[in-house]
Amino acid sequence: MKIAICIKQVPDSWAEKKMAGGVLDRAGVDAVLNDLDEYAVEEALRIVEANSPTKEAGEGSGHTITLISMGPERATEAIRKALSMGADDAILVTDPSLAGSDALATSLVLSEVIKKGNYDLVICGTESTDARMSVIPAMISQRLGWAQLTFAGKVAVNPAANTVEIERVTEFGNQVMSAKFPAVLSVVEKINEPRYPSFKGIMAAKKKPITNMSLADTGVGASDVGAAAAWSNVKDALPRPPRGAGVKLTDEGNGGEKLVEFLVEKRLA
Amino acid sequence: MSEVLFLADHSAGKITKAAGELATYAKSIGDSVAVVFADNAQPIVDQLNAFPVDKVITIAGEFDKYGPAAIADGLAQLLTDRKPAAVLITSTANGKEIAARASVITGSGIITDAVNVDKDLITTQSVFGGSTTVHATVTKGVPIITLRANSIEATGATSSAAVETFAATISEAAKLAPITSSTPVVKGGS
Repeated sequence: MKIAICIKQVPDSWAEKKMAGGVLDRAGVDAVLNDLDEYAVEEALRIVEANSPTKEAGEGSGHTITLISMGPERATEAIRKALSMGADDAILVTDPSLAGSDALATSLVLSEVIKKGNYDLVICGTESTDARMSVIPAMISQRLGWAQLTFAGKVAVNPAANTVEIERVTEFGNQVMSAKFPAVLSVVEKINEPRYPSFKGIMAAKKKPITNMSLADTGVGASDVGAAAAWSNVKDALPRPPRGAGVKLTDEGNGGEKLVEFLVEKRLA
Repeated sequence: MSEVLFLADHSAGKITKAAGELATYAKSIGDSVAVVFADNAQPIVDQLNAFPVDKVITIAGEFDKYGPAAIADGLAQLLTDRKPAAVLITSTANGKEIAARASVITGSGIITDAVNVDKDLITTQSVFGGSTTVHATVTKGVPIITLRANSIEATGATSSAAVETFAATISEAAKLAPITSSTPVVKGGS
């Protein structure tokens, strides 16, 4: 099998995030591999390990795991992390004209890169911890015309039959869905426990190839990406006003009722 | 007045609480038009009439079998046909995927997880754990906006919405991953 994983470098979840000119200021904060993408990497590794004669990913497994990312050169840090977990190689699309791209442009670029790779499966996290839209897997599936198997809490791959079955986990309950390759998957965070990179993995990752692609290499036109091509426009982004004083409820034997009234008023109940 | 469509979610024959909220948003912008994907839509229509709804468009077909990909197909065809002022969808896993695919199909901009949308279709989003408030608009195609549940109090009404049917087809690509079994969510309490 050829598996691709879409990964993104994001600002550290714990860092204070600021907006600059309608977009997230990415330069001023620590950048890490999107937490939720680690589950995608782990799941790909487990799929390969389960179907490898050596019970390991990498050379000799007969399968490959390629990371695909779009971002600045700095995103190689996040890529190395995923490589150290066990992915084989990576493609990074870097181009100044991509700055400010919306989800539609991002999904277009990723789809064009995926098309070139003859992959059986594309696996994504459910969302990035910065934009939190969770639309990229669905957009990629739509653009490629591949089966959409998203929000998977369980994945079962049958490489001999070229089929994959998932259990989709959503607010409306669980659904079992299945499809033939090629398919686009997204995995929820309860699907597995991502491994920590081993020392051997970290050393090996330094030698694994990262292919750099420009926008022109992907075949996408510069007029289709970047802030100017975005199909939505941020009018303003304002920091939260300082918190006002809270409400004190005095318990005069009816504290519970007062609390419930407060929660209902704030639409929290 | 221009039409504002909203996708009326329903599960096991009952509309969700968020459906009434979307009706309320839609009515504050223009004519409130509910879109219902169901083979037996009348019970859904009856429930929607408890909210400000001017019209209901029902779409029948194998949408339960093929899930969000199929619903996105149907919605996209409806958007192309009616060219509404906007379409509102609840910010759920399903809703955001339907929005995402419909956005690609129709070439329309998308805004997700809004906590408000005003009469000029300016959305409010609360991002980075609530530390930043963003106001934004869609600039291309039919604005596709997903709204978080519980961001508005639904207005009650006694509507008698006109019901129309719309015929939509499901593409081969949207049929690639059929749902083979379903388990409804088990909720504790209440």
